[in-house]
Amino acid sequence: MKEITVGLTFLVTVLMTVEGYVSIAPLTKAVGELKNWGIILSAFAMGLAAFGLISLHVAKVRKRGKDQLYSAVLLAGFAGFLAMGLLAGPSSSLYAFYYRNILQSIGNAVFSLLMFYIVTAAYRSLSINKWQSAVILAAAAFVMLGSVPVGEALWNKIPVVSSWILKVPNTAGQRGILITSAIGGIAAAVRAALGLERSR
Amino acid sequence: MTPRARRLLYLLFIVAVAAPMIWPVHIPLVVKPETRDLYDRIDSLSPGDVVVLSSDYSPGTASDVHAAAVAIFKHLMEKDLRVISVSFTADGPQFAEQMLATAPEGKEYGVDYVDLGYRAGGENAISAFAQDLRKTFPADIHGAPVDSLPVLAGVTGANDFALVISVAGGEPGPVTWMRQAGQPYGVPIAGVVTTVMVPPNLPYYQSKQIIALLYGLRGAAEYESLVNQPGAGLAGMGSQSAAAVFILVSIVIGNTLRISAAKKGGARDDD
Amino acid sequence: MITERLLSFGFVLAFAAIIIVKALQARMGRTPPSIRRIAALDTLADLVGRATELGKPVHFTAGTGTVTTQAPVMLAALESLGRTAQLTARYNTRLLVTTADPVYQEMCLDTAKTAYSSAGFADRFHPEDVRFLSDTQFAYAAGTIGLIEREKVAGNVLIGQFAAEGLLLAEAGANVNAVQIAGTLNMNILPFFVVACDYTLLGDEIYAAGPYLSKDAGSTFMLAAQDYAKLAVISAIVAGVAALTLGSDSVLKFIQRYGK
Repeated sequence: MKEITVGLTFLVTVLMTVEGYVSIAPLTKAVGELKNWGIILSAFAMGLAAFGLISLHVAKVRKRGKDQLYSAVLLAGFAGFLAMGLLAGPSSSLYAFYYRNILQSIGNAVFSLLMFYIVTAAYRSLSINKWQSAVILAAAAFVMLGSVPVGEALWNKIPVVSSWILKVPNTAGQRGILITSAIGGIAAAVRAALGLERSR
Repeated sequence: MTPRARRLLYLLFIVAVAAPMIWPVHIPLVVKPETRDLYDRIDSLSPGDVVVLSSDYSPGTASDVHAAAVAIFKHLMEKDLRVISVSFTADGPQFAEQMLATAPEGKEYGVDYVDLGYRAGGENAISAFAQDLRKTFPADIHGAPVDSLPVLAGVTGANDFALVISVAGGEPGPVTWMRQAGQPYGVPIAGVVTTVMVPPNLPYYQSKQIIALLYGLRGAAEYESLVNQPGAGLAGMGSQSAAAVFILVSIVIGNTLRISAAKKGGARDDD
Repeated sequence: MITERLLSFGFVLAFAAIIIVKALQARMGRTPPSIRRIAALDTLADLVGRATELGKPVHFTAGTGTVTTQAPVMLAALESLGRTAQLTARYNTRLLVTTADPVYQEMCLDTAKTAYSSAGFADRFHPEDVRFLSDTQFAYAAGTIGLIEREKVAGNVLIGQFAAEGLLLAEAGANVNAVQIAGTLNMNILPFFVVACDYTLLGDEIYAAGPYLSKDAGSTFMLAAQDYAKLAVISAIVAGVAALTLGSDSVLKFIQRYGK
């Protein structure tokens, strides 16, 4: 069984890699089909996820464990949105109403929590006890003020310095990470194609 | 930091951010070249050119990028361009619908713009879409066959796109589009990303692999000022400025307290 | 052949050849190169030990990446999960794993189960502790924060692909006084991890985690193969910069012509 999966992985990897470099109509068509199969598999994976989620939380409610209320709320929300989507359709005003006023509001609220955590993290961590942290603090100050209009109003050079920080040292570091992660990606792909990936 | 001090900090933060919403403050805005590049590119397109607007963000990140999507869409409609709205994240279609609802009078669904909905598969789905639009989306979000829609006449894939604008809260984003449509087919790719995603996308803008990059809500405000359509972007600048200043002031106060506590010779106290 | 991509094709072929050579060296029993000390990974056993003493669980997450779009880092995170699971199996500490990708959840389940079996404690494994919460970023974050705070985890391992939710998870771990080890390739989130966590894997130290923890010769040779590729890229950068500095754009033109 393992040999079949390794063989299939190798074949698909080679086909898709070669298609990126060589223009052959039958190959392009075959790869196009594979991509569509990939879309179908992803959709099935979402269904699998939903099934797993429901099973887990139904079991929790049945066992009457300490978090059963949260599980019940999740199942009720799931059933509600599913019913609305199936009966009224995802483009209906009813679905849109509940999506915008419940899901979107909750999403915005959780995202907003991020700001509070950043405030405490910044307060706690950007302490000037070494020259390196002073440099980080200065850079952070320029970039933050450079991204809001008040920075320009305070001093017209703030956006210039902010832009330099983003475009020179930041880009240099980002490019280093991007290149090494791309190399890691190619390595992982080659290993998966050759069946050397341990986690399979 | 004690819980009481933390709560006080949060309360002051809420006041600082809410105040400009109640007493609006107008602060002049300078448009970044990264934003102007998108405006100029759209301005240079001819009526009837096809532009793909990909909405790939969730409720959490919508507050940062949705305003820019709306401003850009209005500009695209003004220029009589054909707009294909598509999503590769599950929440995308809801925001695409909200964006398309701002279409001006005289613009018709199916003729001037279309919503193709969502496809699972992330980067793979984008690759399939770029290769063969009709196979990936045989029908639009309402079930109408794409062959019956005048807006998609003559459009088969990325070779027919004049521009792709990726509005993203994460992945897939402009870099994904660059890999699957920009590089293989030569389609110009522009991005609207959350502020935190700007640094990893900036190298691609600098190497001209992405032709424009809007920085979250700030980018939205800049674009709104360029198209002269004030919206959530410009409205949020006061609060965003207040938030940034508040954080910096807290850091300064925190450091001042620490330094004075250290000078007094006692144990450092975070309160 | 699309000539504009000749360079990248050559690079991929050469790199694949090096990987095969290294894999053969591993098979032949050659001594693998050594990896420098990585403090974050050395602390993993202590983290699990502390959780055992406190009688609290360890939480592991690879973030909100998907295995279809961020396969390299997610597969690398699986190696760390395997090692963490072996330790929790040995110490009989509860391991909670949360994921935001249903496909990845199955992989985590398989990895953790295998790790428990290989440690000789298959009966200690609870599949219901490996959970898919949501594929939406902040819904996942909210669910994980709730789990961390309800279960009062003593160890929080965040190795994988994180976006903004990384800070939320790290702060949640800090709030329950968990010892935290984190690592991501996302440079925006790394500073937050450095600030909020006790130990951080910087950049592609994540790829080193698997070979470092498992001491597997094959994985170590693979890591060495990546160093050759990095050397090639660095050489190209140095050659290009040197040529441009000396007034010649030949290297740049060559790369622009064949390196699309």
